[in-house]
Amino acid sequence: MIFYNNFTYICSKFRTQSMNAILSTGIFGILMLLVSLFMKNKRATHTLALLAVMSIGIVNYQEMYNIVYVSFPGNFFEFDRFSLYFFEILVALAFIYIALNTKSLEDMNAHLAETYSLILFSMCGLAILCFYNNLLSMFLGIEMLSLPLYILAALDKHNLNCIEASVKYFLLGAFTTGFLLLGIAFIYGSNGSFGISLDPMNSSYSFLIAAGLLLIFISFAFKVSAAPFHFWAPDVYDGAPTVITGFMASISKMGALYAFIKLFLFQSKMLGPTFPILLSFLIIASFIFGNITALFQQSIKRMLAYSSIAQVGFMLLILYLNPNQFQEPLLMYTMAYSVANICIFAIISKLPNYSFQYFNGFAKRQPFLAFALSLSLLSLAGIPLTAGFMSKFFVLKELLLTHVNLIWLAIVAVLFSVISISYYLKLIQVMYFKSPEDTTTFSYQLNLSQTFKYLLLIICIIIIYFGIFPFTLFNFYYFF
Amino acid sequence: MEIQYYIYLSLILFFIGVLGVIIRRNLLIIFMCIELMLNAVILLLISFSKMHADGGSKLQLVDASKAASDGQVFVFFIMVVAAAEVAIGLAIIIMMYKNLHNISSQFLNRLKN
Repeated sequence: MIFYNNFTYICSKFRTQSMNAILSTGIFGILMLLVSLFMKNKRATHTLALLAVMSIGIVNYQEMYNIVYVSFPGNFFEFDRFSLYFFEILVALAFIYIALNTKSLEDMNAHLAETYSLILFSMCGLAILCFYNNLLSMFLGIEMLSLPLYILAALDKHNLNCIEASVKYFLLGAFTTGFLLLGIAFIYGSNGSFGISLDPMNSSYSFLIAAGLLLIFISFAFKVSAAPFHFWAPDVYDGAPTVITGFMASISKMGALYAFIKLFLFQSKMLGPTFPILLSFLIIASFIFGNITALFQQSIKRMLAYSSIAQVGFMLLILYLNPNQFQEPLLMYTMAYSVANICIFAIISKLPNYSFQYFNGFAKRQPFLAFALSLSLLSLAGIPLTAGFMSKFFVLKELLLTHVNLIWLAIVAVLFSVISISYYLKLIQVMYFKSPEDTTTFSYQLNLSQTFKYLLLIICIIIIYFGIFPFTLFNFYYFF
Repeated sequence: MEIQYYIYLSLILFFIGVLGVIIRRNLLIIFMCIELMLNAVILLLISFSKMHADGGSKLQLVDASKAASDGQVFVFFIMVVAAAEVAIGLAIIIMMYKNLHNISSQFLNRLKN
């Protein structure tokens, strides 16, 4: 009886919360593991994975309308409308990713169902990161996101590059986990709780909160690969299997970025006036290291890795915004950046090598692939009429509406994105205006299915559509 | 008993771990140093949870029976995550040993242009 009273007391103290998305991703991940035991048919496994992602999307969508299957007491998670919508977009992107990469995932490794279950576990981490309301759930989300990624990065077991990439990724990731935990411990020491609403008046040791937030800031900057904590990214993106790089560079990076924004958009005042300075240092360092180094890369994969560091610099500008206006730029950036990156990595994972020479005259050999690749690269560069332009436009617009005194940073951002156009255009120029030097590259036949081409066409339409009608994305958020 | 000593001890342990990660070349030792960092944090969390009993922060440790439970619950989660990390990390290191017959970080130099 006493136990029961205690229990009802605890339940009444906390709001009940539904966990449709988190539970369903976890359950489907485990289901895929079990399925791998007795289902050897690859086609059925693909279909099951796609169905799993689709039903996660449906269940999450239902949660937006308060249709809840299981609920728990507690205050670990906060299911606000924006987080639900953001996760819905991540699920949609994961669906496109899996649908595009079925063949590449199959060729990479014999254990197809396990690969899918790792991707689903990683998405479970993304769900936790989207909904966390507590430093404990934030830590668990980051680990749930990273641990499957360490394994996925190591899937190509006999490739020495892949081994090196996974060892580096794992060791540096675990190293920063230590700093994240030290930061959380400091905040706990000064606050006495793991809630993320830190109140400076309440605690007597605000320097501990500042130190803790600084450590968490550094480890998040590492997770989203912002310079000067970017050194792992080029090696890992280069060495890991290209399909997995596509996942790491798009979906998982945006999930980590949203967690970063969610914590620091509301808590940055705890770091006082030093926070904008730190942030601008991080942003400008990302621009410089990303853009300048990307200019001199010989491999497309490394070039894309450095360009993603530069893009992170742009995304971090969102951290300057107010809590009520970060939604539109973040949604637009997530959509544009992830779709373009998924498309590029899906295409280059089909190719035998990633040097610029291979792309000489690529447009003559594969006109449609070259078109899709160019459109995605233009979108990353931010050329008007593509979704990438709209994302950069919204970030700068909201930035200048909030902080007129940050106009210098906006100018720096625009100048560096002008530099970035040069290396994106270099690839397009190689594909369209150079003739291949040797004929040996012709001998390799690309094995492309019709579905792959139709999906690429859909991605091209998405990129152009959101470049012309960006408000559709927000209309779904505001009105549906 | 005063809490400062615990904080100093765990910070010292943490920075021994950081130094080990930076200085040592053997991947297993690096990995052990990372575990040392996590365990230093565990010690810090436990001592803070004893400090935060009764909602106060008096820089004094109290009986274990009165200690705030949040920090101690967190410790279990850290242990679970550390165990998962060990499972994955050792598998990756074994994979490296099978292919390179060495686990020194000096051999991680292929991916530099």
